[in-house]
Amino acid sequence: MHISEGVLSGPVLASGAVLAVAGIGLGLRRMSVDNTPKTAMLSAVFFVASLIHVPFGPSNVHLILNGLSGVLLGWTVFPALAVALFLQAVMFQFGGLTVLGVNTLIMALPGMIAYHIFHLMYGIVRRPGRVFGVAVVLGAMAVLLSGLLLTAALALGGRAFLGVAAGIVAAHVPVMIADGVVTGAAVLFILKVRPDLLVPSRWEPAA
Amino acid sequence: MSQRVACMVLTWTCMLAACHGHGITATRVDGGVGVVASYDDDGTPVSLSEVRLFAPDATDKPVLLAATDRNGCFMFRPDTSGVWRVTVDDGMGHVVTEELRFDGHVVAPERNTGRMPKRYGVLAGLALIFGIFGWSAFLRLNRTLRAKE
Repeated sequence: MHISEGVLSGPVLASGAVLAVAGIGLGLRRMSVDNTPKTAMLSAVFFVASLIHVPFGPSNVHLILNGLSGVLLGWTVFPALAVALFLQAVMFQFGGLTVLGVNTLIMALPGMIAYHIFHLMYGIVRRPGRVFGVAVVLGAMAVLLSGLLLTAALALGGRAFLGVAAGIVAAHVPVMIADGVVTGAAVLFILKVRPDLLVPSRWEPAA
Repeated sequence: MSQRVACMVLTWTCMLAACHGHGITATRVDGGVGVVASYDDDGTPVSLSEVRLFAPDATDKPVLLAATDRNGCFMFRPDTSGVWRVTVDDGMGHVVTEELRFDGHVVAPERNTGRMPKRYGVLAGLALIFGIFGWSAFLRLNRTLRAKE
């Protein structure tokens, strides 16, 4: 779910870059030294997950895991995904450098939304089964939101929003299912072995 | 500081020159006609996707709007000498552009095949990710220690 070079107009690219830089700046400010290995790990997971294609029905899918990254990283999801997207652009020509800001925003913003919803729900829902359910929904929702943001960016470039949105959402339904299940399983596992990783006050420095 | 900024801008510019396209790649088959075959990064043909053909004397406005066939191929017969540009757009933000020179017959320019194999790219990427974040942690720790001194 990357946008290539040459698709978007200058103002859209500039706006995306400014917003992404703001998010990265906030993320870096909130990234403590103790939190850095987790950030690097999730950046690596995002980097690799996008490159592994799994046959699914007539096509094949790859994980995105921006929801999982967001839930576990909070604002730090911006620098984590920016680094991974930068390396994907340089090494595999996925996306590009001028669209790096827009692509970072498309991936990281839904992660941030997932983070806020998860921690709102985590205070209410305590049973592991329900936490798993919330994580599944948020993992899928992050992919859906990324698709809608991608469509919005393309629509700003002059394409019909609804036509592109329908195509992108339909193409990513298998990804939503896969991402939701993996996010749920990962959160459930973390809840059992390191529940403190799910409590932001334990790893985020005070704002 | 200004040297660091200049270095970053230079690096960025150099990388821009080497980085274009997303998951779609295209290959050219040469002969009397120009043929462009486009594939997703996993090898799936980019079928039924929008194609724009730009003639050498009209670089801004496409001379033809068409679509790739089910095998991701598009074929045309050039009628003017020069560089013809073919853009394949899958409609989901993935675009690739190929250039073919026509000089009585179609000649594909020297192709840069220096792309890193995926497995090496993954390993190098992982090393870079942990290196970048490790370096960042080192700088922060260093700054904290200096502040304490």
